[in-house]
Amino acid sequence: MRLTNFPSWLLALLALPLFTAAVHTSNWAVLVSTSRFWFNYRHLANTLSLYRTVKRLGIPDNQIILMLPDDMACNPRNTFTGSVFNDKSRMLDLYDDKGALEDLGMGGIEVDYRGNEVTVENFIRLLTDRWPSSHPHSKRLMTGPQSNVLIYMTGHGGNEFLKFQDSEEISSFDLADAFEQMYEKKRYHEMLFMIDTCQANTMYSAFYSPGVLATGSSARDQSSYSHHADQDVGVAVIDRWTYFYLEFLETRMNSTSSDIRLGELFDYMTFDRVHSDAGVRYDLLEGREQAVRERRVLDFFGNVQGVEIETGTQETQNDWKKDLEALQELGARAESQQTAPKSKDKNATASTAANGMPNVSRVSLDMAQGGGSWLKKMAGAASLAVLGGAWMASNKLTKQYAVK
Amino acid sequence: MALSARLLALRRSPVLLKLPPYLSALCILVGLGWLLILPLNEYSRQTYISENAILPGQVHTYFGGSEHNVFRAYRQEVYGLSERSDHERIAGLGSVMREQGLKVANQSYSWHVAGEEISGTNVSGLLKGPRADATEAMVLMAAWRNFEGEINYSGVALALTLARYFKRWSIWSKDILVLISEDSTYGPEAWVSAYHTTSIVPTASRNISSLPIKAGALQGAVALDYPAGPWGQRFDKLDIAYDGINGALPNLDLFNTAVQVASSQMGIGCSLHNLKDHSDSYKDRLKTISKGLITQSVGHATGPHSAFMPYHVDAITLKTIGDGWHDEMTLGRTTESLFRSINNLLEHLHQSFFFYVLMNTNRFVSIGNYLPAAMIIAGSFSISALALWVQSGKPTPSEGTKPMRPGEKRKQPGMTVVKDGKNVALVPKEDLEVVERKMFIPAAVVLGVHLAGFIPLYLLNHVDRSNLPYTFITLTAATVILPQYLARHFLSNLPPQQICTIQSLSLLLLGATLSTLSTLNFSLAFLLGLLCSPLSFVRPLPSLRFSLEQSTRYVSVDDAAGIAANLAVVGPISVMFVAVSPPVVLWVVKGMFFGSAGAEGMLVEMARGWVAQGVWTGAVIWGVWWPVWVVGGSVLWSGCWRRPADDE
Repeated sequence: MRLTNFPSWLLALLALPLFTAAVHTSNWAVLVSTSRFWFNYRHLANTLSLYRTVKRLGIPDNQIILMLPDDMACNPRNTFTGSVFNDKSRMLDLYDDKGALEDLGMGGIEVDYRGNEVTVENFIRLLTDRWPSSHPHSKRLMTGPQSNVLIYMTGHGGNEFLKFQDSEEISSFDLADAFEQMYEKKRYHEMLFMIDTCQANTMYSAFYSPGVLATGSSARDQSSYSHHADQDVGVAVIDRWTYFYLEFLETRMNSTSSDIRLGELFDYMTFDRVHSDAGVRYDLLEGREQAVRERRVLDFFGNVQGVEIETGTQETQNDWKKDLEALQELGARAESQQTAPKSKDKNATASTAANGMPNVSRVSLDMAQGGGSWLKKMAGAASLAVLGGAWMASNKLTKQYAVK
Repeated sequence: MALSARLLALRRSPVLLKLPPYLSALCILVGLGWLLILPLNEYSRQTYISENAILPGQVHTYFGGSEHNVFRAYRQEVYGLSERSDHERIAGLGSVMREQGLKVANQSYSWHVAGEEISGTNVSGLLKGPRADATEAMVLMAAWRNFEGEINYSGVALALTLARYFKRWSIWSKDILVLISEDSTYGPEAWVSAYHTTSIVPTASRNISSLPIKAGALQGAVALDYPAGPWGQRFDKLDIAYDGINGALPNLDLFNTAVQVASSQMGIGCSLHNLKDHSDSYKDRLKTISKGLITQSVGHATGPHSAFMPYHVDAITLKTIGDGWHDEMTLGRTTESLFRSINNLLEHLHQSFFFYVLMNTNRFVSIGNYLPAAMIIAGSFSISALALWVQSGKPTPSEGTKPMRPGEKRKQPGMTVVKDGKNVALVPKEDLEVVERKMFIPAAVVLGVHLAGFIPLYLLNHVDRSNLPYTFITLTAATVILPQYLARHFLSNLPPQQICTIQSLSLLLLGATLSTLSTLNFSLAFLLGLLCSPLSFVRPLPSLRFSLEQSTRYVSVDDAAGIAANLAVVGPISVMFVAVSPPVVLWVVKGMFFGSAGAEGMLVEMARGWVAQGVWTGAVIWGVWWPVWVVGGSVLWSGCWRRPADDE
């Protein structure tokens, strides 16, 4: 009924995304800290901060893969037991499920890979989805060709490598090949790769798969620095690059309707702020730098997507017109059905009015009231009476036996 | 034939044979010079924290405020205990720690050295980290009496206050052991040895009771030495004592952390070896190096921390010196911050250097740069030994080299033909021959003298205190006489070739021992190398006997002049050689460092070091240096007693 009243231009607008090439229908995030130990507190705080942000901007927990190799909240050296902070003001507890304010609650932390599970092998398996069938779905990256993926990594790295937990490292080539496999398996639509480590920009130099946008915190032979230390926690709590990412995202991305563009975000990472040359690699995306910079930040950090209606057949420009005609037909039929019983059956209209049910639900109500002949009702009442009699008789019999 | 013959002939090259003594002398000079250039900026480095986990001075310290009152109360308590009996004091210290909620245990110990007893009782308390996994521990120490023997009032009080304060924190990843040892040397030694043993069997010289309370593996120990009395005393600087038994050192990271926390975070200046005014000049740097060289070569304890080093537990002592404006709370905060840093460790300190030479609190030389100094000096002995070995393989000089007697006909030396392609040459046969060396007697002599070294070692460590000086005087006399005796009655009867072999073996052993020792205790190896350096140049002296006998038979002016000339050579050389003998050097050391205590004091300390502290210096002196000197002396003086007929 209501559908029929929709102006057709609105429906045409809904169908618009069909004609734009770039669209994604889901957002996923893989957030990885690769170092453990108390003095690397900041790497876990970095990752948890990003986790909080993407969750705030709408990516649900089951679409965030969080890899944390250590547990800072429960480290005996932690003065603030059960808490991780990313600022010395300690206003925001990254571990707290309530937060400083009631409405900032995050609903806890869901760590998907923790401790020794955070390995290069697991990370590459996660990206390429090569798991034994027993591997739980909650620990998988269930992306498809319409998924936008955000990958954030932080830890200790060097020229073209990133250390994983002091015992192994992943090279830029491993990463590039894993992304290529993802591309071949149509596991992403577009990907934003972020890395905060020393010589971070070398990590994306080997990428060659289309659709990968990459950014890093420092150029080759440059260190990435921590932002500040908390003298009561006793360690550095956050890295510079991540700090300014968060600053931008916290101040500019106030809601899921913020229309901030990626170019603005990337430009925020100046040398004065980060103390190293943050880099961006645009060339693997369609449209290159100019187009990419115009993309919304929420395309990767949020969960705002276009909706695609699968047609199955070859799309033609007239498809939507046919759909509209069909919808109008359906609407007309519903209208005629609605007006017909209104005059015949007063009871039925009274019941629907009392329930306040919309007319659409009438179709299902028809099933119960459709067989409305008196004969059928009498037969039903008779069968009920017979069953009731049988029950009472059996009751009496059992009582008699009980007395004996 | 050709090449090997040439090489064999090369061995006879007069230039090559003359070279070794000069090479040895050069090595010694280079070794000494090497040490002298170490203080220069080009050869030393600024210290730095190597271990990421330490994070020195990154925490706020909260030891202050009302803790000061607690400290003053404890200091009064400690003062009160100092006027009671030992028994009451130990019970009192125990009850203070028990009240704080620590698990307390006492440990008694005794050693018998030089007829005396060293005994005492340690009191230790265990503070269990509330969230720690009990696999690791750190030690906070304050000896009841500091290294100088003064009562450590403020040090003990501060340790107790800190224990009470630490107990309130829940951030300890390691347990904390609080140790109040009876003294600064033997108490910690007894405690740490019992800590690392499951059962201690009492011996004639040692009786240490086992520890009823232990924690995990020790990751670090910090001792406080602050003997200010009940009315307090502000201090100027912190002297950081770091050298352990046998010259072992704590990891440089621990030292650096202490320096950084004290100077950067708390603003307290630090010093080394009590050198309060260090201007960072070449002279002061060299002075600091030399002081370290001496304490490390002696190898005795320099504070409560020293006993921990042999157990691979890194430890330092913070000692207050001077009169300034830092008070006990600043020292307390320094200790707090230092413990927070040790607490941050994830594994045993291993990142930084264990072998280093400090010239200032922020400058050091690492092993790669200083080791060659001792190695090159050790090498000088090996060079001499090889030269002597070659010489011992040389045939005794043929008649051609002797002066002709009237009417004698010179025999043609055996010649052999050497062909190399078209070239043909006549070469004396003896140049291509190697005379068989007779090894038994030389080996037996060297081995025998080295074994004899255990006699003075045994005597000096087992004789009673009152008899020690007499024993030592006797030993000195015996040391000077023994080589004379061996030379007169034994070596002078041996052919020169075997004397050569004896010296070669002895020097070879010395070179090998010193180069090995230099990796364990650089200072000892370096100083010993310098003291032994004359041994490379020892050659049999001219024969006095020959001259005397000649002079009785034929009175000639020439011979009288010869005697005088030989005596003029033998006399000064003998005096110089005796001057570098181990006992004489020890007498000099006594004169320099043991003014009031005298020889007795020095010898008792040495015996205590060997018996109670496990210091190896005694064994090195009597088992390495003394035998080598005796063999050298025997070779030196063997020439004097050589008969003229020996050669014929």
